[in-house]
Amino acid sequence: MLTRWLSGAMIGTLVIAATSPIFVRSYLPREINRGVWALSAGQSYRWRSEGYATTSIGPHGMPGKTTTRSHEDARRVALWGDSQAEGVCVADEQKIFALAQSASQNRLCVFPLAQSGDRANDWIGQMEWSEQQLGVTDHVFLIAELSDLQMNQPASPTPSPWTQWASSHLPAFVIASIRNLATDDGDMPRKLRFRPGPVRSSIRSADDVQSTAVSGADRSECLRALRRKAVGSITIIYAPKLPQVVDGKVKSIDGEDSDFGQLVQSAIDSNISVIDLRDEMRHSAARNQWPHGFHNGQIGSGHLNVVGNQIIAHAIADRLR
Amino acid sequence: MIFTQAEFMLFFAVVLIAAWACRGRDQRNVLLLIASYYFYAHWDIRFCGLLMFSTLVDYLAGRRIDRSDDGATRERWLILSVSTNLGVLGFFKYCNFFIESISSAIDPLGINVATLPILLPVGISFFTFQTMSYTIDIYRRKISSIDRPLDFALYVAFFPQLVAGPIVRARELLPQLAEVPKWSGRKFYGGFQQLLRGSVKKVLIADRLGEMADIVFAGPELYSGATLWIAAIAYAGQIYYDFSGYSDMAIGAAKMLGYRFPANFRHPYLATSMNDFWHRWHITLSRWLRDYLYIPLGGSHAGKSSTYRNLMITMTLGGLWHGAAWTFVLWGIWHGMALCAQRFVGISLRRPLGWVITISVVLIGWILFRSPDMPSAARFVEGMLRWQHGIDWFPPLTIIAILMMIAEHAAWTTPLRRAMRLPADAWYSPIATAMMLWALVLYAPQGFHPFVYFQF
Repeated sequence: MLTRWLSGAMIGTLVIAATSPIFVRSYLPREINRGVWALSAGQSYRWRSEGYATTSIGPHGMPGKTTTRSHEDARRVALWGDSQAEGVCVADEQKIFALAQSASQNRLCVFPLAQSGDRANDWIGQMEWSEQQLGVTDHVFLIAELSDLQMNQPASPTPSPWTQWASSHLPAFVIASIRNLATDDGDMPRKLRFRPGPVRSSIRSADDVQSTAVSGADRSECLRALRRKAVGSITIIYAPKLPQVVDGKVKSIDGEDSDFGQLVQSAIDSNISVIDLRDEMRHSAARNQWPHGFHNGQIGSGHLNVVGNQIIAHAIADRLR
Repeated sequence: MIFTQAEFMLFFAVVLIAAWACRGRDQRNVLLLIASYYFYAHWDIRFCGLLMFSTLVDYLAGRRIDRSDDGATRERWLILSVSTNLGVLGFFKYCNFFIESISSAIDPLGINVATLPILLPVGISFFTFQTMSYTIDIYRRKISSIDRPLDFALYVAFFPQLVAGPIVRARELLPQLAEVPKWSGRKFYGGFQQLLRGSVKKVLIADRLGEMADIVFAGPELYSGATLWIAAIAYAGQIYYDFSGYSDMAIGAAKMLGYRFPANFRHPYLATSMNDFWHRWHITLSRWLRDYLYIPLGGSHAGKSSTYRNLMITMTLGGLWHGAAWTFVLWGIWHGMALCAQRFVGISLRRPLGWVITISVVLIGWILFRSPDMPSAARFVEGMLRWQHGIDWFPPLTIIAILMMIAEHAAWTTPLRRAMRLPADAWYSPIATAMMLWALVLYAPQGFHPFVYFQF
């Protein structure tokens, strides 16, 4: 009886281990590359959240780009940003860098240097390196949230030794199980409550709210810092999560519109060009071609999909070709 | 604390060990009563006062009705019990509904009536119906009153069925509480499997289906006709697997403690008529409404028109029982009309046609039930029928969950039905059990997903 149950439990676990890659994302150890923690070249990163896609990690931890070589006359462009620019939800040939190269008929060689969670401080630290090591002549920043253009932010966290060890030694389904048990919604450590209710909801203090706001001076300083770090041209592509489907309503208005106006003025002062893609995104959605969201997530919400990537890729190609 | 939370699992493990360690009946029932009140207090400790009040009134009323031979006295105490329960239910659940309805009716006169700051106690619809059945059954001399307040308090508050049923009759549970259950490894295993099966239904099927249904029902005008059809089917699946999953967990937990609860669902989407549907859906509520509302109204013994009237009253009030909103009332009326139509036509349709008609009626009913208001429900149905243009959204996990629902219903009609219960001596049971446990940890949607029926 006991033997039957133990062997049965093992077989059941094996079945889960064999089928889980269909549904569970992969976990890879990171290494220091270009001064930041990046995935190791030669590995495959499987994303299974909103979209189903496998990304080949290229040199310097570039997601989807497996070579640094380009046509001799191609302009070498660094693409910076956060997870929206990283594009792990789509296949490599549908990522922004690949679509931009294709749209420019390979007259552009785009290096995808964006990583999930990156902000201005992370980009500034790598710009000089990209020009020296990759021969980058143009920098493109895909900005979905203006708060990313802020100085004095904490750098991306260093992965814990436990995370690094687990990513190297444990199968993904075991790591995912541990994470699900140990964390709650939003990756916060799970807290168990045994005291009787009611539970008082915590109200954010005014200080908390203000801490996320970015002043125009901060943003101007950030743009000047970007300018100082780059020899080549700088282009900011503004593509916020618009339009979005939220609670059954289409949200088409950008709440950061006035901040964006200030950003444009500061960018002109710093000799940085800005491309505003909000209208293109809205027109695309009006044609029922939603630039954000995936079938496994929600159409009209979340990360950029192929449609959104194409809009951005064409904007890059048109500007730099 | 809901059955799928880690807190409940730890709480239940402690109660389980302590309950089986108890030797005497009183010791065990005190333990289970304290555990049940703690379980309820985990939501809001203030609710416990209401539970105590309801318990006290019905215990005293039951004793007085049973002891008296005077018809008027018996009737007086019954009225006190029923009016107290309905009064509590009416105040906490329907007060603001009626205020809002009156307010909107007199709004053109420029009169505004403010709603009251009332919190709806979890499970109030279930425990008030349960205690009412106790006093009514004593009045009808079907059962005798209980002279042990501890057992009665546990009958009302017993945590596996406290917040969302099954609505267990006094004559089903009180005799079981009168003695210490005998340990049975086979029953314990069966209870564990039912608890696990209920968790899988809730977490892996209902919550996945709910992710899509919640979003599409919030703005049906945005989505294409095909997406609306999938969302409607997804909601039908969500509410069934959510509630039958809860019922399985409640029945399984009680079984692990040594008690037997009545079944609450028998694959209602396999029904071939509306009458059949209500013999399979929320069985303990259906029989409550039949025994304490439909039959006292006259049932089907007083002519056709009276039968139609009784059906409509029963189903309308059944709809209102589900929630304080006109969409629920309309849902009840819709089902009442369908039952009347079936009775009027008077022929039983062959299986495929009967099933198609029944499932269509049920599906439209669920759209009424889920929509926030009637215009939204109308837009939803219109979008489905017109095959409207809009966002095409076909979430793979929702579609997999729908396919699982279809496969599970199909398998239930075959000899696989027994295998689906995972008998302890079957070779595949350990494999399937391990897979279910892993899947619950790995594939549970993130976030807090309360049971749909908790709001009722």
